[in-house]
Amino acid sequence: MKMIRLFHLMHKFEEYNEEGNVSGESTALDDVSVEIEKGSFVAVLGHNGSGKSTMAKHLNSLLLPDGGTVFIKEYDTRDEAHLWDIRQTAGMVFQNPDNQIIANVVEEDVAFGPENMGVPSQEIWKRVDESLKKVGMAAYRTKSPNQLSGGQKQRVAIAGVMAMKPEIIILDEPTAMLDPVGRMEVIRTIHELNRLEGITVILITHYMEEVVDADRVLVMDGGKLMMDGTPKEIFSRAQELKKYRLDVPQVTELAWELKQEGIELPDGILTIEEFADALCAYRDALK
Amino acid sequence: MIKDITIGQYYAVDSPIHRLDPRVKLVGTVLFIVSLFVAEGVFGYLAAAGALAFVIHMSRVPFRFMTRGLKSILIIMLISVSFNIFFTEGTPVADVLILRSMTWEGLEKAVYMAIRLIMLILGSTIMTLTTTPNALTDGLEKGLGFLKKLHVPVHELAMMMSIALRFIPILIEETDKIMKAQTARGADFESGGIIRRIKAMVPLLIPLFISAFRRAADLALAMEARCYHGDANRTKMKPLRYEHCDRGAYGCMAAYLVLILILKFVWKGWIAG
Amino acid sequence: MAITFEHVTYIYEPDAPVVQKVLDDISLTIPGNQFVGIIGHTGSGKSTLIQHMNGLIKPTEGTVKFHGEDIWQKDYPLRQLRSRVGLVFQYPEHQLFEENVFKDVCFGPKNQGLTQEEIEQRAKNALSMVGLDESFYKRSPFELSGGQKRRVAIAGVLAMNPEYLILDEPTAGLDPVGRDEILDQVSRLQKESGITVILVSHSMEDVARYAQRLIVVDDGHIRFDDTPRNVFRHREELEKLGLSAPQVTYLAAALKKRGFAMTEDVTTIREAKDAILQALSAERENRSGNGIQKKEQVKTDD
Repeated sequence: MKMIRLFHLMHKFEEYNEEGNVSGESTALDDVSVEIEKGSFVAVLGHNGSGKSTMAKHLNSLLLPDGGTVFIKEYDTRDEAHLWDIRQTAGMVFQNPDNQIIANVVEEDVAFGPENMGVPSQEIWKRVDESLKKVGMAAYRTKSPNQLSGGQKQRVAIAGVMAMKPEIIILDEPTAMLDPVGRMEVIRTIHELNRLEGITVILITHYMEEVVDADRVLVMDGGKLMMDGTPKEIFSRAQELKKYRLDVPQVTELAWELKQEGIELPDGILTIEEFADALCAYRDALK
Repeated sequence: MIKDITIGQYYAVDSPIHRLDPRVKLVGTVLFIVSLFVAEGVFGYLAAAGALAFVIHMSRVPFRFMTRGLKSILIIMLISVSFNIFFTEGTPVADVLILRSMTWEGLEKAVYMAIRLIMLILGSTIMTLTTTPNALTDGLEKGLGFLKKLHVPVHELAMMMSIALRFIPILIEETDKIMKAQTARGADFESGGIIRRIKAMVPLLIPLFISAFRRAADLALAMEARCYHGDANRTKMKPLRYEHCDRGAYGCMAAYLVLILILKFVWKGWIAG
Repeated sequence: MAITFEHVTYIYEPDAPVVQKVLDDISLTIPGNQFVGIIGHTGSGKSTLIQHMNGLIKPTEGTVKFHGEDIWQKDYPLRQLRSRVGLVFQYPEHQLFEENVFKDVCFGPKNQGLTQEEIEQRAKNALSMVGLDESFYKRSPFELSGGQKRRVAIAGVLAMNPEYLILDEPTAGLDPVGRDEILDQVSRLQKESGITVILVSHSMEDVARYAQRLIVVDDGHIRFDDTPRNVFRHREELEKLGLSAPQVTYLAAALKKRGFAMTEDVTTIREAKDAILQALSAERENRSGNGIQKKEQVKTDD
């Protein structure tokens, strides 16, 4: 089943001159078409300003298309009658952990979404318990968000979305402001939700290490969808990625460099293990 | 400096007062303040002090924790006390030096004034020490719910209060960081006259405001993404419901108020008689 | 010419019931003209450490010296110290405030009390050092991209002509190209102008590539202080501190385990490439050498 369908999505931003009048338009999204399968883990790569965050906001009706159509399940995002269905189905986690936690106590923040949806109190308690357990933050439920680390705050934000029982979670650079430990926590959590709960995940990032385990990678540049494939397929085109101001894991780059020296290694090596296997195979072939 | 303000600080301990519904504590505090202005005579004040002592004891908050809040009003108290002593008409205390301009009536007034102020501050400190800011906001929202009929945006105001509480510590920390960043560029926030100091604040305030606006915009988006649309059809994880002890507390308050009134008329009669 | 720490201890709230030592008896010397990397996870004390270097924080115990003088002695010109030890914080948003880029960069030198002419000259130099040309001068700093904002922030500190430049995670939140641009620029600056650069980072790959010396901070202590190569030999200890070595270092270890004749002392892609090429050619020689030997053996058998 297709969870998300984008047909020729266009988005334009108006530019203003110094007097505050519209002076022109810039295209943030240019004819983007893509379909995303239920239960898949899709990473969206692109440098700052490539249009990836704009696309994310379209998946939650925070922005509406200037052209083309966006469907979340069977709902057209322009259909106001289904606005709350869309936002409940496709939950969103943002970059800055501080600016998306609303309440002063962890459990009350997780409850914020269900409260808005009009879920009865008893049910809210149940959902809050479950969601906090799923992200491993149950021990912190009565703490103030200000006492948590960045990674923990992001996990609370994810729990807040989970409590709305979504089918899709869109994460807009959730790790950009975190340290390596926090980044690992968050990435591990969303992989678990994808695997155990069957949640469709859209992870927007510019950290290459984070997309290695995705089912599918989309690369954006200048508002256009430039590449679409498995991580292996994408990373085997290292030179193309560089053109889009992205880089590849160190081993992938090293493999490519060695290839330039005439050492025949397969394309799209992503991990240390793969690299070692490939180099051993090459050595054995020397015999 | 900010650390010294006890009003608005929560003292985490489990006590009957902590467990009361925030609305009860709000009403109670207002009633207590009113009673301080209604009360007359030694017995009236003794009754108020007794009630206060009882509540403080029940709250299990150490007394020295409350008196910290008094320090901040010391100056206001000194001024109002001396005004009363020196500017009340009546019989001078004695015919020597400064005592000539002091009157017995003024002294009496000043003592009552000081007691009233101290009890007022202690009374409201008790409320904030035993109620989390969230509970207080909830209490205000629900307690003032009747104002919605008059188109007062009670829910929105309560939401704003609660968000402000969440962001105040963040913005204080941010202020500190900005100050350090500008100090590293040679900014000087500490020396010079008042005009220079105000001017020196510009490099601090502009980044702070920009950051605050940015946070506000981000937060609005995050709230919208989580289906926030005002209080229409909104439920609560922890709805406020009156329990037995809350009703009991209201009963005690009523009894206290009657006692204060009786003491007042008795005192008046005693003076007149 | 050095920043020197002598038994520096910093306690966050000395009156608190539980005394928390953010820095614990740190002694350290950073001489001129080095590229130093500082690594540690969040809360390790690295931010507190760098804020001691320009006198933003006063040590609870011990002394901090700049060129041999105690910076906390009476009448020491602290403001002057801050222009000689420049510190750029992580978020440029915390310091940009003027209506245009040029004015903002002028803020530092203006506080030094220079003449208008000197101020403008300094600002121009600083902006060209970070690679921003005149087309940026009149632009609002708030409309720039993340990478450009960082450059303006760095220029704002460079304009004070510091001898030391401390950068607190200057690449956080930047995309890969933006990251490399900033670090390349800083590295060039260090080589050309002889300024000492102290780079606080979370990225092992970055410090491996640029730093000559790497200081690892953990729980208020300095755990390692050596060349990156020597520090990354302690992979297991680093992991216990919640840190790691660059990916290629792990790769080199894995390859060695699989029988490649190569060193584990590899910290950058270039080093890894050279080491692998060397190992492979050794392998080839070995093979052909073995082959010759075998032939010889066959001969003797004959």
